[in-house]
Amino acid sequence: MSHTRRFSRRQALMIGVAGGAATLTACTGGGLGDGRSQSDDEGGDGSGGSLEIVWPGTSDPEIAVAEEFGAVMAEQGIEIEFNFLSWADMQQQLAVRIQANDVPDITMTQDVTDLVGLGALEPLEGYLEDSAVDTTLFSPGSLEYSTIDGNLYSLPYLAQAFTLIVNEPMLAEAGFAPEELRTWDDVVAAAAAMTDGDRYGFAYPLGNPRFAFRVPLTMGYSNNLNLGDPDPAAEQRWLELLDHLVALQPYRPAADVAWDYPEMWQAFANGQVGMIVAGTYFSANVQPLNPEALETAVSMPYPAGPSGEALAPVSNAGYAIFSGSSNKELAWTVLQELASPEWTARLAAVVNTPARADVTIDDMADAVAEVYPDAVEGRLTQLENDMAVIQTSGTPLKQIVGQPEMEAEVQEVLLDLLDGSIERDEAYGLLVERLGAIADG
Amino acid sequence: MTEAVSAAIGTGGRGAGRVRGRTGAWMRGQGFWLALMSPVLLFLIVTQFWPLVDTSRISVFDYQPTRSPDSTFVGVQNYVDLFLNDRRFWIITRNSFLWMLGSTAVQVVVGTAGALVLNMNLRLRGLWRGLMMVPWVTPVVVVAIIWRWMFDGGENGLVNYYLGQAGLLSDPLVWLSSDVWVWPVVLLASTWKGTPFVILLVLAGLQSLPGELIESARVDGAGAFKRFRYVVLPHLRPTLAVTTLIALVTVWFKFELIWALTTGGPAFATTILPIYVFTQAFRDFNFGMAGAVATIAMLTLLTVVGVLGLLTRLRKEGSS
Repeated sequence: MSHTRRFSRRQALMIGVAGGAATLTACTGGGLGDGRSQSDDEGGDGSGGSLEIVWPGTSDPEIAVAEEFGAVMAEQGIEIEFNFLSWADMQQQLAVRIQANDVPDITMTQDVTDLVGLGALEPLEGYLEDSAVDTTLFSPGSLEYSTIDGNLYSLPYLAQAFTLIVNEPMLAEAGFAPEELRTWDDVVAAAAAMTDGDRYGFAYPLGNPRFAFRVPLTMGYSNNLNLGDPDPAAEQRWLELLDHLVALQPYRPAADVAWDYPEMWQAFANGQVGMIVAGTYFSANVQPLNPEALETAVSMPYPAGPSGEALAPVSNAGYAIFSGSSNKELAWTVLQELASPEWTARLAAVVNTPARADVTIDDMADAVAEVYPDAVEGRLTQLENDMAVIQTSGTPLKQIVGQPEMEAEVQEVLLDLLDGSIERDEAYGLLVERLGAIADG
Repeated sequence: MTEAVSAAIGTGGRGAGRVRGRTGAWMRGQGFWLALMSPVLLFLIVTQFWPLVDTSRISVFDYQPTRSPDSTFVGVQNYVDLFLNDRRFWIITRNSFLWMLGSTAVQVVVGTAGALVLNMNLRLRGLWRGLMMVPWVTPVVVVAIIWRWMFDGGENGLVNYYLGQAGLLSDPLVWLSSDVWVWPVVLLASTWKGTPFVILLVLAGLQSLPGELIESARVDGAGAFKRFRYVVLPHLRPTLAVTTLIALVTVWFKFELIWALTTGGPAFATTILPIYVFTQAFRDFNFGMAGAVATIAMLTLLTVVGVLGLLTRLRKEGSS
């Protein structure tokens, strides 16, 4: 009896040790934590293998494009595992995976600054030299946005511009035409004329630091001012910008201080607000709320400030390869295919504009009809308009080191300025001090 | 075999026997249970204890990988910066206590009242008990979106609309950007979401209250309040202590409701320490500072829980 009991304990000990080992194995990622991706053992010659692509496009059409692309690649013997997640979650997940040396092979990306700062991305210059990719075909500003210290870190497929978007019928009712909005004073005058009862000329979503920053950032480009550069020489331009924001204050809904983008889109789509600072992603956001709004909205570079000219800062969405991927050659093969005119047209039909000049409206028409069945004309008009804005007024959006920290500071100071807690000069002083401290690290 | 060898073997044999004896005794004592528990213990060490220790380790380094790949040992500099140079830190700490104590207190009070009601002989009591769980099982983000819409600062906000219709508001109130109103709204949303858990635990405590006790109190002439004060409440005290403890810990770290509702704003008005950890780490990539904030948050919580545990123990000892 006692023998049986001792034997059982030994068994229990063995089970415990085995269970512990299994737990440890599970917690350490099953051997994937050594910086090598799952594709390590696959061929790297482009003839076969497997890759993981981080795909922060979670709308149905974007997922459909990914799945079709995956099927086409599978026919060529390349297995692609898509990691679908939102843009907001992507930064967090990638930061953790980079620290754990467990990186995917390819990612969609917008601002590459942080990923390059983390040493995570592979420079693409060497790959480009030996490829058939024609860099002269990319829209103005789109390649520059992915270039740091002369190295290109992502191959753009979409160009994204920040613009002023106007509800044309509301503007016409107020006695203005879009082409009459040439200066900041014109914007204020139009906003004043459009404001009537529960309708407002302008909205500024201050509830989210990112968008609280993006509005003055966009305005700044039209006043020869980079928000990330608190240079004392730019004082006059800063003060002009702050004056402009204060001048628009009476023509904004009081509630927009707590708004995020969804509330702003809703107000614009409902005709409650006449002008917003947004960008080429307008169609994808407003179409589900009111497809007709795509036909009545006009986008333009933000009109000229007292010290600048009307410009639209252009960024991009691109594909990047992780330097930790051990299948970079295969990743480059897939990346070129993803950035080809065919697949670019499919994604540009959904949101933003194509980054390449060889993708035309006609190339996107079929996909637009699929994605925007209630607003085909509206989406095509928006695309045409946005592509023209980028070609004529596009300027590269400059990367700002420490921008996320700056966003919170700008939001805090502008909230105080616009609710009258502080004066313009104090706001300027605080911005220069705080943004300067972040820029200096 | 020489005497010496034989003695050595003899000694060794007795020694080995003693060792086997001690090992066996240890195995029969705590060793067996330790072996059974080892998978769980290993799991806790790897996923809970080690990250806590490593977080504290990172907190004494200047580690900002987007600015420099190297981390530099800076001792307590991150803590000094937080305590002396970070103009937000003390506001955020105050917010954290307001959030933890305010949310927990309201949840426990409302939850206890709710449990007492649901313990009564109501018609369709099962249905009410089931419906009570709805907020608890609704995803936090959905709750936040609903509450955000209800407290929208425009005419479209549900609360503004009804208050306007009732003649209580002439102009819409921008609840979520108001320094005065944002905390009551956040606490209200948190109470709505967290109270069912308290109700569930207190209801379980009430179910174990012998009916004879209430009945004899009633026979002795105790009214409803006295029955609650002198019979029900003492019976519930251990349940309430545990419930409060669990609620404190979960509320302290549950920042997603605030994040989805206000993103910690306006400015930093509703930012609490866990949100600050998140933004320092994953927005600013300042892992050293994030580690320092996390360590402070951890120590603060341990202190609060320790004080609560001590108070409960002292009270128990006093009453016994």
